[in-house]
Amino acid sequence: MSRDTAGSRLILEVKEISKSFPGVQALDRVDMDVREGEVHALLGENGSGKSTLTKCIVGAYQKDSGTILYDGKETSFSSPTESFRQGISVIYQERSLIPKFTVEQNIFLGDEMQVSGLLSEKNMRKRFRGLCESYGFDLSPDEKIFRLGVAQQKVVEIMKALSRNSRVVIMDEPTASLSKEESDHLFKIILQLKSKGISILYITHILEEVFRITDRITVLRDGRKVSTLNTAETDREEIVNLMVGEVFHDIEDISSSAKYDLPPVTSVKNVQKLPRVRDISFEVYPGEVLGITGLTGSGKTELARAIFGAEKADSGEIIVEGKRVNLNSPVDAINEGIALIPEDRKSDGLIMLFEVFKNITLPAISDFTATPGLILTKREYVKANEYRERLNIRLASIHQQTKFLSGGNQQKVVIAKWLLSSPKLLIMDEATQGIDVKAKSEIYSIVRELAENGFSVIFISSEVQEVQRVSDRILVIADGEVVGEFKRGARQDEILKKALSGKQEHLDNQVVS
Amino acid sequence: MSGPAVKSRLASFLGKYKIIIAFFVLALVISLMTPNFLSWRNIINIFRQSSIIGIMAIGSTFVIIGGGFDISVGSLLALSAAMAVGLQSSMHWFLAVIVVLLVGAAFGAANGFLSSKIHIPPIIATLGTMTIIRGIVYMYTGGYPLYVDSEGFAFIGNGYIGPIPFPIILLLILVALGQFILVKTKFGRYSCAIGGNKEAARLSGIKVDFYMTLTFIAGGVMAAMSGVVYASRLLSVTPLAGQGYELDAIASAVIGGTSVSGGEGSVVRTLIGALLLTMITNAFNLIGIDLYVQYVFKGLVILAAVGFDSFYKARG
Repeated sequence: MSRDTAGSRLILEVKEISKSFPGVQALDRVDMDVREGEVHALLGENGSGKSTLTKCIVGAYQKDSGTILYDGKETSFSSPTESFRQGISVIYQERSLIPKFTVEQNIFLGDEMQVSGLLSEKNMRKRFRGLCESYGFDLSPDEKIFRLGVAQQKVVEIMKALSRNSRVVIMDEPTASLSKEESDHLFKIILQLKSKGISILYITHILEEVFRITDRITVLRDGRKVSTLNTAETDREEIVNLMVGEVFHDIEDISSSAKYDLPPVTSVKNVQKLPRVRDISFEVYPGEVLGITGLTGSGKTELARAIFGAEKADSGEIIVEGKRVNLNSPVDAINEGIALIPEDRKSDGLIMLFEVFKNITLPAISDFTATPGLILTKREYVKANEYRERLNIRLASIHQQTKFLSGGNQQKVVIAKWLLSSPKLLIMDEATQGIDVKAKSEIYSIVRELAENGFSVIFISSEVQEVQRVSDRILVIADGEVVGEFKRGARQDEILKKALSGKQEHLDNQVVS
Repeated sequence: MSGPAVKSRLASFLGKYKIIIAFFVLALVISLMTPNFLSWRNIINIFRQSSIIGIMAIGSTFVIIGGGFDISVGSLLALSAAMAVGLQSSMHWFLAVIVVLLVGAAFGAANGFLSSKIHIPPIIATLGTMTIIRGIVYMYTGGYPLYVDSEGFAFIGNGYIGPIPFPIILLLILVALGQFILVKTKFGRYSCAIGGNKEAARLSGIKVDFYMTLTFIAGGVMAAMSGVVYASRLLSVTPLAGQGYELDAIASAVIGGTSVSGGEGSVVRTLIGALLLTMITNAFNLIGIDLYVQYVFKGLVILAAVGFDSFYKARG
């Protein structure tokens, strides 16, 4: 095993790794290393390359160039399964356990102990007890996973990693859905692992945690490594500045068409949808683009779905044009003139098997039907073609199957389908995710144009820069609450700081109360 | 155009028309082997033998396109046939037929309710109703065959219009109507949308539960209609009628290219699927091959038809 300049043993060394996807340089000659028995934070904004880097390390992606040394030897894993066998495990945000299996069955899944071809419960139980003793876990091996809380499930995943003698554990936002007590418990386990010489690569957005448990911090920005620092020698301010980088002030001047003197189009009052949305209130005005930003998991998507009636809110009021409305389903919301462009266009936004024109006319099909339910296809074609031109959707014909379109064009189809029903309020959730730069800027123009024509838009995105670009006003959400409100032209670092610090303030409040 | 695009176009072309191609290839091969096969009488025969399953399969096509599954239609055929016969002792045959169709609609609605509102997986929900309906058939008939003698009623299954038997005309009318509803109406469009992506359909403001139930009602009405034709053709019904028909109806739909996961399909191609199945039986009988071998061959045809789609879908 090699050592670094400080004389520490290095378990993992990443040298000059690059990875590109069509149109994007996701990683550009990134260097980093992980010492034996350290907790190393990997920080960066959305799209900075954190997850691409970890995927390259464990073999979920194949790097374009560069080398990876594991335990001093050059390695190139072909898949996460292989890296897992070799001792690098990943604990993903989304759980990867089988709910109906027991704790023990999950831990040994894929690596069952056998004696003459039969499962040996005895040996597995012995190994399970051994793990519990040496790391201080306290779990019943026979408990079914679905009966456990999220925190305990994380522990099971960690035990699974340890049962394969993992030497590096990569944790992707492990506290995302944990309470404060549960997070504390997890931190104890992390320190325990560290004391046994296990290294942890810790990916998070929450700076408080970084300063609490990590030894070093590596910051990525736009696919490049900005810096690696000793946690003890830096502070929150410096880290935020490194993450944000140079602040651009080239936000073009747009003439706001928001009419704040008119009554709001929609008021949201104390909406709650646990666990993600705690208490949110705001107003949207005619001709306004209201930006909503916040970290992944802050409750943005859940808020959007609650306003649209996709999932009924636990409590709170939604007032449309002065009238209190009950939004129990999307049908209700659409009748009130509210539309949602969902976060995941593939699973929620489009019917991929459909020809493009059928997707465009789907919500407003009644406008194209004569007498009981008879569709006037010719009129559909005309309208679909009109929107194809208006939104510059690039395709061979509106009779093409939607699944053959590029991401950006698919997204425009989703926009077209809602514009067709002329909603008073259009909610766009991460509308530019996974689409190319040109399509992105076209979508920004569409949003501005809608506002100019008097429509209202709620533009939700975790990319602060694009929210700044299109919005008249920006709300920052953290941990299910509005933690900040900014006017157009606010500085990016201020907005980002609000988003990052939101959760911490909330935790502090909890401690006080 | 790039290679993959050509390939996917070819795959989608073959996917759409493979059933028609297969149908004619098979017809050609059989006609070379058996001279009687292409005779007018035999062709009419194949169509008439397909009519009962064909009508039932129109309904199955709607149900499967909408993302459901209905295995109760065989039992429903028996109940409809028994009631169509039984009710004639107390009312005009035409009225009896109307009542039977309403009963079919009611059981379809029950299947739809259990699947969409109670969230029982459709195959299990209809397994339950299949068993219940079969029980009702036994209760209604007392376990004995029922007979009827009514000239007007007999016309449905045995009459001719010109040289063409009436059940064939009925089948073709219903296929045309079904295809029209599927392609040209809001109900048809919504059925495809729900089967194609239920969540996206819901978020587009479609009343998913309601329209899914409608597909089951279509399935129930078509099963009842096939029961009427069955009863009229034989002028008698045993409590065992229609057993296994649901499987032939589903097979016709999937051989005709209806996507098993929903969202895609065509009533016309379902008809060809039904004709293909009948043609295999017919040809094997003409050639004189054992009944048992026919089952094996039919099974292979189903696997080949569905396997083609599944394989290409999995490869993207």
